[in-house]
Amino acid sequence: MKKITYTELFSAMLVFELGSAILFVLGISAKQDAWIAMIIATIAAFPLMYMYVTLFKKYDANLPQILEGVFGKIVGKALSAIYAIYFLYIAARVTRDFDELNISTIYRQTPISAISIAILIVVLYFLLFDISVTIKSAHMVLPVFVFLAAMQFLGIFTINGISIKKLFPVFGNGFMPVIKAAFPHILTFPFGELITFMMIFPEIYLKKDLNKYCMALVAVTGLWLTINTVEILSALGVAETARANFPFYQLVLSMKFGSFRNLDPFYAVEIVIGGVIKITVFAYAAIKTIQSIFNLKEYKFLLIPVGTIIYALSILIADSYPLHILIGLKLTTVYIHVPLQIIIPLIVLILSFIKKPQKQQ
Amino acid sequence: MDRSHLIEYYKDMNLYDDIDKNLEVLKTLLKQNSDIIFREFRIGEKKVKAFLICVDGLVDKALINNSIIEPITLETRKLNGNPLNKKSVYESLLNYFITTADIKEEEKFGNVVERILDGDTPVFVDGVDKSIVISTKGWEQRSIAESTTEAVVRGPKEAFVETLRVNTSMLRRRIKNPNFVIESLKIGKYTKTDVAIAYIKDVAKDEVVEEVKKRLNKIDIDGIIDSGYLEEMIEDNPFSPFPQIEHSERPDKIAAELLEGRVAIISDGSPEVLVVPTIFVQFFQSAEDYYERYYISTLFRILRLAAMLMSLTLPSIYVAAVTYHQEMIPSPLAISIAAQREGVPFTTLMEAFLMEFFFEILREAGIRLPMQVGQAVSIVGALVIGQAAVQAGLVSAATVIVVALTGIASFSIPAFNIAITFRLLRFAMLIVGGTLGFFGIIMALMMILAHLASLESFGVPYLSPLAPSNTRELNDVFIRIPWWAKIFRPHKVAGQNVKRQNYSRS
Repeated sequence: MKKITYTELFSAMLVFELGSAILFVLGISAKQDAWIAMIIATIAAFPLMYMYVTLFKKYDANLPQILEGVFGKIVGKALSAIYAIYFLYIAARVTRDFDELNISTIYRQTPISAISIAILIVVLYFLLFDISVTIKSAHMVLPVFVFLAAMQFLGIFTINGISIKKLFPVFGNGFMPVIKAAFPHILTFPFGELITFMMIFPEIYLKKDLNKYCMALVAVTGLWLTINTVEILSALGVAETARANFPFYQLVLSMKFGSFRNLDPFYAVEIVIGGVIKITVFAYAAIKTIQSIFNLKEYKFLLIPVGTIIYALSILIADSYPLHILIGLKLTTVYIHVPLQIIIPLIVLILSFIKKPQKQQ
Repeated sequence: MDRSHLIEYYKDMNLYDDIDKNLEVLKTLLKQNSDIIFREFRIGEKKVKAFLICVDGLVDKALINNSIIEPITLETRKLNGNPLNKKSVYESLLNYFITTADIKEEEKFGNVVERILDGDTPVFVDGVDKSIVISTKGWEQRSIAESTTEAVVRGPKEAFVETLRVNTSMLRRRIKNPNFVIESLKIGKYTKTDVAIAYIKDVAKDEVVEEVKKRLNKIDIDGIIDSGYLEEMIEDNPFSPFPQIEHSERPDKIAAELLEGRVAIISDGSPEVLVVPTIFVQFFQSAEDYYERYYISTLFRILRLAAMLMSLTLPSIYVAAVTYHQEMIPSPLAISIAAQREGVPFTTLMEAFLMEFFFEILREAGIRLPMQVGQAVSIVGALVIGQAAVQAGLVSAATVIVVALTGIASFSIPAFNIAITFRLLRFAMLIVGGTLGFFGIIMALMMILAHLASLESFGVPYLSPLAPSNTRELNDVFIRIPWWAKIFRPHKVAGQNVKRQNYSRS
């Protein structure tokens, strides 16, 4: 049954986008111009999002069904399998991000597997229910995000040495570093990851205004992350931001309200909530893709295998945190994100205009 | 044949036109019952045989004496010189002599027996294969008293009692509209409990009414003693710790909810009336919210919400903060807590867990104890959770304060049934808070949230109007808007007919 409403979808996508993106200053390679890179990437994200929505509207089906409709059965299923692996891999990457955050800040003596298992238990619990439950829960926790962001905005002014001057000179290194930071880096993470929602669009109650809400979402996400970037850069400065594992965490750690300081656990809450929602959406996408490839009626029995795979991957994908980040920056973006988030959808879109689309029943 | 076979055998049998046979059958069906009265008498000049049966204690004796036996035995003598045959005796009893309002004719043994045990009185006349059943219900009952479990400062004070008819009358008195329907059915093989479904026809959703009827009709049980039986048998998710059907003993509250388009289920013998569909936020609303000024009600609602969160998470947050996140406690407080904990042999988790456990024992004891020894509990309680325990070096003072605060917070939730749920979950939260810190607490809260988001009550999502969100209805969740601005009913509940009033303050 289709139960998801636009507002819920909007909230869920926002939580999904902020979930792990808020942790990092994306495009720090552009130095103090990272926030400009953010804006540029946001502008580029509009056509990207428009492409996903158009694809969905054209076929009214989820991603593997679209792929099969365009490329035929064999190629379609092969591509779907790649997407399934991709979703699993990204789910594992996000899990690893949160593992590392937890063990490097609060739970210094806890093994990484314990955090992974705890996160995945919750994720699997979410997946026991209909996906609308996850979306609704995300909608319920969005106020927490808004509240903490407001507190953060007030709190940064208590940080010593905060100055907007740290953002100057604008374009001090020329335009190219900014463009290079925006493409493909910020465009693919977090915006390109919205392709996952092509697995959830079919569950929406109405489809008429989908485009409007998705565009609004890209705008709000871009604005939120730009403000976040400006806050972090002007509080910490470029050098410290680049050095920190989790600049956002560094920022909230420096805030103080009277005798209350070290409020980072509250922000860890925000991050963990976003992480759980994000991993759940990725895991759901993976499961649904697998279901579609094998034409399965029921997907609940895939929960344990998929959960186990994500758990194992989350620990195996990198030996250490720096390596994990390096892989994310250098390899994942160029060789995985770009083809799967941009090139293949673009090919599908072009082919779908050439071929007459046949609506799947 | 034993009696149950006999009852089965005679259930659909017509009454005989021979009065002696009828008497014999009924006597065998009801034999050994010392509380059943058989009264035989004769009518008119021809001395037509007649008798009536009633259950002592279930009937209004004065009514039987004055409105049945007296007219039949005395007045019929005036028919002298106008001798009646048996048939016309029956007709004239039906039409002239029996002077009560509620009369019905029954033809089957099964129905007659059922009516007798309901407290009605059948009159049999020789030569007629029918019987006049007169409604004579009247028994000793608790009089209408003030509500004890849902007390209010301002608002109506009366509460439901154990008798179904009295309860329905209290609702009918508040909603004087022919569209207010009270349908009834009997549930329970032995108890034959009367259950009434009350709703306002053009306000309540038809699907909900049908669903309620369907679920109630499915019940096949030996007896219903309290509406709690019904609640568990018809709720949507039987394994959830959260109550999915609200109950109340306040007729004003039930009437208000009927006006919102809900359906009430009233069970005879229980002063608690069930209302469906139920949403989560209802449990944090008191009837008084709607009578008191709206600023004040809004404040109370926010207070209750805070109390709910405290009752669920305060001990676990305390344990997590002291165990894992000391750096976020202001330093003077952290030092003082550490100093208090110096002599305490337990871990903070153990300490808080034990204290919570003792608190629950005290609370349970407070309910069960007879009134005369109730004082003992408060004295002992003050010792166990108090200064003495701290001085004995068993717990730290901070833990005592946290546990006491949590206890008070859980009592400020208006609905007892959801307060217990939070109390139950609090122990689970304590354990995750003590083992995984804030991270664990958040994980547990997310799981609870997922569970809540998955619940539905009779087709209405449990978390509405929060998720799926409806901005128009948020005006009656955390805040309460004034009555003149409350134009609409909750649309998930009421379906199509959502308009409540026309705006009158222009």
